[in-house]
Amino acid sequence: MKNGREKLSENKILSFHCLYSRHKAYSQWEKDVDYPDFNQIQIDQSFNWSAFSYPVWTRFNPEKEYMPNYGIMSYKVFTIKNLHKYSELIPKNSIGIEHAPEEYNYSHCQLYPINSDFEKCKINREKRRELRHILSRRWVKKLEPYEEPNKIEFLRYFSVYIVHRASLYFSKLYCKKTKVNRSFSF
Amino acid sequence: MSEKYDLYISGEEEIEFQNSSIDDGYFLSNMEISEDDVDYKSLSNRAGFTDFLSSANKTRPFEKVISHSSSYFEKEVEENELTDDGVLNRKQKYQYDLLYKKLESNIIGETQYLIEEGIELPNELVIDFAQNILYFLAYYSIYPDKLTTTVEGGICLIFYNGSERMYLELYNEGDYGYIIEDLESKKLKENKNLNSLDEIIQRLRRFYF
Repeated sequence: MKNGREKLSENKILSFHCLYSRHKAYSQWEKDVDYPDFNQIQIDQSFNWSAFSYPVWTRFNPEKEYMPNYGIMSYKVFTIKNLHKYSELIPKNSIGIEHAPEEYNYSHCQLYPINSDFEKCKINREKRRELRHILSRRWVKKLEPYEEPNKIEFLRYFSVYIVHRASLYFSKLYCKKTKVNRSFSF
Repeated sequence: MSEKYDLYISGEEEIEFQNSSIDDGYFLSNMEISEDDVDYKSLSNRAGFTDFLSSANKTRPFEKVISHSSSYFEKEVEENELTDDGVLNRKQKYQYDLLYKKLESNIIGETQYLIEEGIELPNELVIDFAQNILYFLAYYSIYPDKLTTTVEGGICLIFYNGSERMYLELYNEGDYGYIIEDLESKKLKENKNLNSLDEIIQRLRRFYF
C-alpha cells in the first residue's frame, strides 16, 4: 500500500536491484515452451521494485486477487539501464525506469521512453520489436504460470528484499549527507 | 463502412470477401499494379480468372489484392480436390477454416487479459487482414503454428521452421513487421518491417522453402 509515501526519484533505483513483471501465457502456450513470448513484452512494461516487493506479489491484481496463471519475470535494473549494449538499434539512454506508486502497490515502476525513438508509431516499430525481444530473453529468473516458489526460493526472495531495502535506505542516507555537506560548502 | 466485394473465378464460381472495415486502399498503399504485372493469359488458363483483371487499376481494394497476388495461384491444383472457392483444395480449406476459428477463439480467450492490462484489442481491420493472410498462405500449404494477440495492439502469427522461429506481427494501425529468432541461441536473426501483403507472403515462402 502507498500509505501516503512519496514517489522516489529514478536514481534511487540502484543497478543491482531487481524489477519483477507478470505475464500471462497466451492461449496456445504449452508448458516447456519458451516463456514469456516476445509478443507479451510491452515497451511501457510495469514492474514491482525488489526493494518493496516479493516477486509473487506481482500476481495480485488491484482487487487483491491472487492470479497463479500469471508467470513472473525478474530483471536486473542494470540490464534495463544498459539496453543499448545489446543492440545497435537502441541508442544510449533511450529508456528510463520511473517509480510510479499506485494506491494499492507502492513498489510499482514503469518503463518510459526518454526521447521519441520508442514512441508508438509506425517508424519506430523496428526499434520497439528489438527492445521487446531483448527484454523477452534477458531475464535473470522466472516463475512460469502456475509455478510456485519453494521454501528455499522464498528465503532467497526474503534476503533479496532485505538487502535491496537496506541499500535503498543507505543510499537515501548518503544523499541526505551529501546534500548537507553541499549546503555547508555554500 | 461495410462493403461486399465479389471476385469471379472460372466465370461461374464466386469468392465473396466480406470486407467490413477496410477503407479504400488502406492496406494497399504500397501496391501499385501496372498492366505488365498481370499475366492475363496464364491466369485465365490456370485459375480461370476472367478479364475483369484488365481493369485492375480502377478496381476496388480487394480486387486489387487478388489481382496483385495473382502469382500466388501458379501452383497446380487437382480439379477434383478443389473446394467451392475454386482456389484451395479440401485439405487447405479445412486447415484454413480451423486456423481462422482458432484465431477467433484465441482473441476471445485473451480479451480479458488485454483489458486488465490496458492493452489495445485487435480491431476488425487487423482481424480481416489476418484472415486474408491465412487464406493466401493456405494456398501454399503454409500454416502458422500459433495464433495470438500482441501487446503492441494487433495479432501475432508464430511460425517454426527447424531451428528458427518467426513472429509476424500485424498491428491495428495497418502496418506489419516480423522478427526471426534462433531457437537455440535465442538471438535475433532478422527484424524488419513489411510493406504489403505480397511481401508478407514472399517472406514466408522464403522462410519455409
